[in-house]
Amino acid sequence: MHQNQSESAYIDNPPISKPWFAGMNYAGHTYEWLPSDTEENFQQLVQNFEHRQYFRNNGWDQPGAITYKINSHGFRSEEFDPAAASLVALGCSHTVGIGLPEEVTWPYLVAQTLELKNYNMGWGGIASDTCFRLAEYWIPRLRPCAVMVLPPDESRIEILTDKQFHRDRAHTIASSWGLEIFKNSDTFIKQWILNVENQRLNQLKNCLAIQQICNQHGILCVIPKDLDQAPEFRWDPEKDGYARDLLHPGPKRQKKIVEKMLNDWRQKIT
Amino acid sequence: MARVMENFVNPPQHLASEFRGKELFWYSTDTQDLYNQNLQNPTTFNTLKENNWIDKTICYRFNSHGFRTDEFITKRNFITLGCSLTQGTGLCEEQTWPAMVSEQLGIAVWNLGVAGASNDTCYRIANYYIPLLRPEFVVMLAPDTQRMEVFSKDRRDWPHPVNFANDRQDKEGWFMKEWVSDERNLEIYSEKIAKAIAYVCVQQGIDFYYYQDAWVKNTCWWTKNNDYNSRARDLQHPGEEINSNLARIIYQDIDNKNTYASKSV
Repeated sequence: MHQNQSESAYIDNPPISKPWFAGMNYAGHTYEWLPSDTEENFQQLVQNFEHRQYFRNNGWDQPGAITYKINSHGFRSEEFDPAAASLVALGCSHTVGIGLPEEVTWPYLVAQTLELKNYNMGWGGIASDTCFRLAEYWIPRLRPCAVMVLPPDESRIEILTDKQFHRDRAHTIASSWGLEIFKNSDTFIKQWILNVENQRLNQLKNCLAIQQICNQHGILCVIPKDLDQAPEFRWDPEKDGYARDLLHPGPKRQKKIVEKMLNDWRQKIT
Repeated sequence: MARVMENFVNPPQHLASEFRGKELFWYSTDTQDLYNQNLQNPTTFNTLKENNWIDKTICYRFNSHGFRTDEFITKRNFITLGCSLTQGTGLCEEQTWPAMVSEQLGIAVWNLGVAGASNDTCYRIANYYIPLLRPEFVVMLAPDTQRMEVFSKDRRDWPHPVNFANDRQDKEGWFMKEWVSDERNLEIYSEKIAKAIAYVCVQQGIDFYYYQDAWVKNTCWWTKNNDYNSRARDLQHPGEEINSNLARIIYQDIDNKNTYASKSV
């Protein structure tokens, strides 16, 4: 108990400020819905027989079937205990498991297999830049046994701003969200988005930098390469199913990610 | 037996790529016009004289990859990364800190510094050349964090350099203004690149020595904290004395194994 209190004090009063991300707005509460898995969307979908049937088969046909328990630091994760053997998982909505119960998400299943605590640091809509910021702060503090990253879409880039007129303190910009939002705005970001080499390099830098953080602390790091390009990982809603929001892949694809992560992990330790 | 290294496929382009294989006597900010202007002004004439630049010839000799360094051959070497401070704008090659460190260590240097480079440029160059040139270690003097580069639709293989110090006004739009308005963007970005290059070195099993932008500014430029009048021929870059001081610090760090990793933990 004494140990937990002192460690908790360290986490709550860190020497440098905690990296901000949108999940901090949700810290310490349990939610029945989280963007893009909204009640309004769900009520519309259940009007359709096939969706209703699919949700029923998965046990998601009633509100409350899926909950998002967000820890005191803003993650859909157990509370952090630096003394525990843990897995840190980084990524976007596919890692959080938007529209899915926690028990079918890849971080949960990998942590269970490896008998580690599951510190899921994914958050919906974040960029690989955000993963780097979170990794830089949290990895040295939590000293997990393993770090696994499912890199977000490489078309996303993050910018930090303290300007009061912005609601959030870190913004993600993504070409996949439509170029029209850049109208009359910005030469730099338009150029950045129009050539995918910028996006590829940014993703690569973030992944290498996270690997370096792990390397410095002697932590095993798994970041699967080009997962999106691999045919077996292309999302086929018919075969893989889908999450409750219809925008994310379902439990079968999470299992494929689990297999890939564990396979890469085994290769690294041998 | 040392041999010339070949088989470089699609090497990264950079600001000096167009000078590959050339010898120039004036380069970048070190122009003949500027030199002649400075000769006419009594104050700048004195500075040129104090730094032994009157009628001195500087040869910028670029190898077949556009770097101010020897042709790459298979021999013991280390790599230096950075901008004009590393490339040695306004200095003879032997007056640059990479050449001095090389001399002290007795190992060849592949100086991959490029005038006007950003941290992004250093990363692209490092990621390509480190595995091929197999250096014993890498030293990087980080360029100004206000620089970035972006590949555009029309320039597929050669990114457009952006310098926020010059381009931060309206013409570059929202993103750039926001980017420079919060220094954390610059700090995080440069730290990320340092870590990425460090990991490229880890993959090759070699040490990485890194000097961040703030340290470089404090050590190399003329601030209230130093009284150097050591100037390169363009009077805009650090001169031989500052390079010598840099070389001494870097040599000591190499000797003491004060690597990036040892400083970061």
